[in-house]
Amino acid sequence: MKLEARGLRWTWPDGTPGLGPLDLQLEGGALVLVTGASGAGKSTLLRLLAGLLGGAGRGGSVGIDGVDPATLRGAARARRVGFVAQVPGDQLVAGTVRDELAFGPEGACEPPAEVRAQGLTEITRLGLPDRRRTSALSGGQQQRLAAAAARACGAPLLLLDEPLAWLDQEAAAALIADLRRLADRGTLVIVAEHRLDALRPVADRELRLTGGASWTQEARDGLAPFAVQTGTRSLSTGSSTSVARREPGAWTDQGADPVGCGQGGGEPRVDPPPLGSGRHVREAITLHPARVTRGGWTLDVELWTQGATERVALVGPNGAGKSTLLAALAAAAGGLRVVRLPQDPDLALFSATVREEIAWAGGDVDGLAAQLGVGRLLDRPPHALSRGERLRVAVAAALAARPALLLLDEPTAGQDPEHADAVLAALSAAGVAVVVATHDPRVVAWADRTAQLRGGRLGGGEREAAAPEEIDEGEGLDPRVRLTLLLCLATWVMVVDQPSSLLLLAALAWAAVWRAPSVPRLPVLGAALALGWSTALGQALFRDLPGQTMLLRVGPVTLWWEGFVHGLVQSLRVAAISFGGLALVASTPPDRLLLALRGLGVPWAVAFLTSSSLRVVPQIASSWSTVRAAQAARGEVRGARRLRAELDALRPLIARAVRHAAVLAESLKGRGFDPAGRRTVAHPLRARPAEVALGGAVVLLTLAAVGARALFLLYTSGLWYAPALRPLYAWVRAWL
Amino acid sequence: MRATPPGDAVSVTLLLLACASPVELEAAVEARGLHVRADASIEAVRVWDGARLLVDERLPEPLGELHLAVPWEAGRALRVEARTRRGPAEAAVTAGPAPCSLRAGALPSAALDVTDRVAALAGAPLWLEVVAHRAGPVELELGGEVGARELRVGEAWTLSRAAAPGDVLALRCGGGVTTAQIVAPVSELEEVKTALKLDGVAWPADRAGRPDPSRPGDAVPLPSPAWEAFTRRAGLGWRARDPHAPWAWVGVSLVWEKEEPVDVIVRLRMLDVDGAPLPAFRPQMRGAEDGTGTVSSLVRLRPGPQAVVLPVFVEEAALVVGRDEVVRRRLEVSLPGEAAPVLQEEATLPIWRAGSAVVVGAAVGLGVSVVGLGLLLVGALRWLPRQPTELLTLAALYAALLFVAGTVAQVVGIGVATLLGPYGVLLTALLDDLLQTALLATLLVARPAPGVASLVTAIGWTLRAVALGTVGPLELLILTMRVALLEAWLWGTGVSRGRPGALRLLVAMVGVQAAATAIGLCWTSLLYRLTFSSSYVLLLLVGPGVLYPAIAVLATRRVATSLREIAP
Repeated sequence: MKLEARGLRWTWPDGTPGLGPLDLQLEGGALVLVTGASGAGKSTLLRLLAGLLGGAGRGGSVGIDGVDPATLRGAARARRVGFVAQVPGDQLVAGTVRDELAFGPEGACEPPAEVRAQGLTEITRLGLPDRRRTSALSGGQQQRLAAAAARACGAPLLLLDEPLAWLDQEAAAALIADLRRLADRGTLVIVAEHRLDALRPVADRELRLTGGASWTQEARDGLAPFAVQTGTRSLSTGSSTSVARREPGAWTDQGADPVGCGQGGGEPRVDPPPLGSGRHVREAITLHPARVTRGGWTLDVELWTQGATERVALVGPNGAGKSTLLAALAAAAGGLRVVRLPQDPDLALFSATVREEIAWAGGDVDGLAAQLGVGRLLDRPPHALSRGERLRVAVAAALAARPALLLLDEPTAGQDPEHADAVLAALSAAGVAVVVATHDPRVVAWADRTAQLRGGRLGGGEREAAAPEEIDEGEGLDPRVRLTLLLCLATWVMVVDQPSSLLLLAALAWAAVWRAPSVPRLPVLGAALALGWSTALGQALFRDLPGQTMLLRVGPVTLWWEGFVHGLVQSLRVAAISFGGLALVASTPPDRLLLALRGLGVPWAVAFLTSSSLRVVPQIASSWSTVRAAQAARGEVRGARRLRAELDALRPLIARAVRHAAVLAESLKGRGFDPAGRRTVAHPLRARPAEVALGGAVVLLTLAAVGARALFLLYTSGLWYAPALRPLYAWVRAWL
Repeated sequence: MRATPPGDAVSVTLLLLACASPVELEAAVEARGLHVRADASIEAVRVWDGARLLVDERLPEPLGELHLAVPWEAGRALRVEARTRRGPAEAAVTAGPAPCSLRAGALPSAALDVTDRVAALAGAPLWLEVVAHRAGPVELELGGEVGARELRVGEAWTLSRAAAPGDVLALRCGGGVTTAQIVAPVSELEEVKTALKLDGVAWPADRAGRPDPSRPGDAVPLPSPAWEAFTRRAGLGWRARDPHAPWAWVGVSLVWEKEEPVDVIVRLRMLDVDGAPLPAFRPQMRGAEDGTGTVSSLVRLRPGPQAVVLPVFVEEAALVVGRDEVVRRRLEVSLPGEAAPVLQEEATLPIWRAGSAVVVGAAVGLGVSVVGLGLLLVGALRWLPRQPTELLTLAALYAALLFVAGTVAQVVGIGVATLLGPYGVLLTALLDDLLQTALLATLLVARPAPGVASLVTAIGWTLRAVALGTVGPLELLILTMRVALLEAWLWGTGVSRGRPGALRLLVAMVGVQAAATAIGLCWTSLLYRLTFSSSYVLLLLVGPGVLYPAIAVLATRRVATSLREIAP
């Protein structure tokens, strides 16, 4: 395999030069590291090489064995190049591990048996259960899975954009080992990364971008340096920022050998709190977020009412529960003003401009912006910035709210060292207690104390990490049968008028919800009951028919019994349908649902888009609550600003969705997605005879009910009457 | 021990609520048949005389009570079966347990069952009706004057006699005696005239006499003749009107300023421009009509304001009003036994025939839906597979956003909106349309191309169908209509041709929403035989049709612009 770029350059739509021109020539069997500051063009280079960026902005040429990757489509692309993006979760295209690995080969129409065999090999190597939901994997597992899936079609070139940004050291080491193994077997692996300590020793070459077109390169012993750079521009990285750091040994002690919260980290803080003129009061705040299911946490955070406060680094492997703990801490803070910054800065930005964002809760806008290096961006929309810039804006906005406690989730992930230092310096200067979940040794060194989280417990070592509970439950009823049952239920609900029959249908649907995993049953039931009662009461007030029976009269308000029953019937109808749909979605993995839709004749592209939408619905719901919590933490809004705040909550959700869509699109293209192409199915649905019989029987019953209702309608409308059908009319009247 | 799922308890509660107490059905023999009454609305009724089916009637609109013209014989046991909203019920009645009944009043329409007192002005004629439930002699005595007659079962004997306060009325039949005292009316005519005020007439009103704002006031709205003719010829009919169910209610607000209560008769007559009664406006009891189309109610007024609610019946097919297309509504309040009214009000009401615009609107809507269906089919089979992956993933993610926003709006909105009655739609639309339009607007600014909005709308619809089971012909009709409107307006304004300026987007989204609202109103009017007042239609067109999408587009303008920089 030979990768060659000649005069490769990229210009952004507004005319800004993005990269190059540069020449490059690489061959298979190497692990190449691309480094450089944020904005240097690492991601752009990788996307150009993968053929994901094209059109008028691209200049020069790229060839993978002489073929321009931008011209490749579908399986042809997947067989030539694989691409792995930075955010692990967003780039996964399927619901389960085995479907993720099979997606590319299925699109390449490889024989199902072969796809299954290949998948099994990869699954064994990754050490993951094949039917585990991809959303239940840790970030590290997701990233390794994404890398494996990206080259499932045997692409000789694999490009990875900051794949270690979200990974703990253990997961990062595993992924690096995977990449090294691939390179040793002849694959050309190109990795753009900021976390260099672990990668540099295993990389064959390093390509260092220093500003758009200028770059240098290093090669390991025995390997020839590659290509020649041409450059005209160097990216200025701005002024340097100093950060108070701990001795390196402190990190080694606490990071490498996990200790309990507050134990073993007895070194005095580097920056003692400045004393004010008055009494120096020291308070310890103990947060007990014990209600979270992972449970059992108690974290003490020391605060000083004057001056600087304690900085706690929360470390632990991916999936240990760091983010969950931060959320629990925010919820357990009571009257304390706590601002939590989620991993994804999009969810903490709601305003139209950076200036408005920082000014949301007041504070020194210009000072904070300058401190965090976003001063020149004040009039730009925050969501249009790079990830690093968005994160710094979010930190500035959080500090502007003057919280007593700041909870940060991976605030330096994906940041170059200089900007990461700027963030830490700003936090130091703010005089605020900070708990920061991180994998970054730099942050651990900066913190006063390290809390190790493992297996859902602070202190670690007491128990192993619990296995994710969300295992694919797709082995129940065949999804096609489930979908058919739902359609039949919807038909029955339209056909039936009798309250008792509707109640029976609603009860059956509720039983399905009760059996379905991961459904918050009580909130669902509560919402259904609230809706039902309010509808019934509303109808009791307003449904106005002659000969009604009065239910209750209070002053001028009269409630009518018939209206009440009518409202109840309508609610039962809605409840039966909604419960049925909820049960289907909750108990059927989207991939299985996709196959079921295809089985019912829905075009592949429509079925895929529907299942993809369904897959992200829980994420959107969760993002929504994160956004609302972030808004509330930054300060309550009342009056006219309230409506605006509600609409502002859409902004981060839309930005998140747009960004997710972009990552997903890149990932799909990398896997050879072709909406029009034919595909094989590696794991087809197999309905048992009993299931087919059940589905068939229900369909027949439904058709019979529809027919009976139609005959009854003909009878009641006076169009057609058959004396022989009188028992049928009686039955319809009594039961439907 | 395993805890009992809370769902079971709730289900049982719901079961108990839905299947509460058994229906109580009462049947009583009347002179001309049976009077059937239930504590739940009756949908269908049968009357059996042994194995012989006397009556089998279905009521398109449920009724709490009804009169059945049943030929019966004394001593026969009749069985009444009724299907009610709360389930079936049965009652048995033996014809003719009471030998006879007596009604009295100043006029036949104002006659009440005789109890112990009958009000009559001195010298004024008193109208009396005796109905025999058993065959035999009947004797009636009033003020010493006695009359007698031999009556058959079900036979009515009516007579008019002058009465004076202090007279005694006595009825003797079947060995029993019913007596009543003739008393003077509570007030004299002039006294009533000064103390009684007409505060207003609400046409149409709800059952409590309050004006119904969602329907046209002081007019008689009727379906379009073209639509009526079409449905008649096609043999179709949606919710055929129940002859026993009022077409509307009229609320008459009266204020009685004296302490003593007074009995008055409130009469409503519908007349043509020449003052002749219009038989199309017949009262509920068809058999008892006097041909004048008078609806009347005898009420006892107490001190203070009081609303009298009268039902209005319209037989649309029989309504011939000539070229003027107006009717006159004459309202009279009089004392029992008095011919001259105490109060009188007359108004001219125009006939509003839902014109061809509604039918045309509905037909156009149907055509738009057909076009939308075509677009969807072509899109799914030919356009969709050629689209870039970035667009497809963006559409999928947006559809998920629309789904979440729509579901949240539905859950939050419906519960509250139902308390607002006809105005509830303004609230549900505020949440639902505002969010959905806002989201679509941001998408269109980011990706202004044909098919994008429709793709997102269609995936969102499929998502709702799968996740919430909301799949049906009507939903499909609305989806396809919306798709066609979106594509047409976005293309027409240039938005989908790559020019998503704020003004163009505003015009497009307002156009789509206003057209969809108008078509929806046309469909509702035809399919559900509803007629909306102009103000209500205007409110819907201005609010959900224009204002909400405009607010959504304007509020998300800056968001949309910034998103262009990050859209794939």
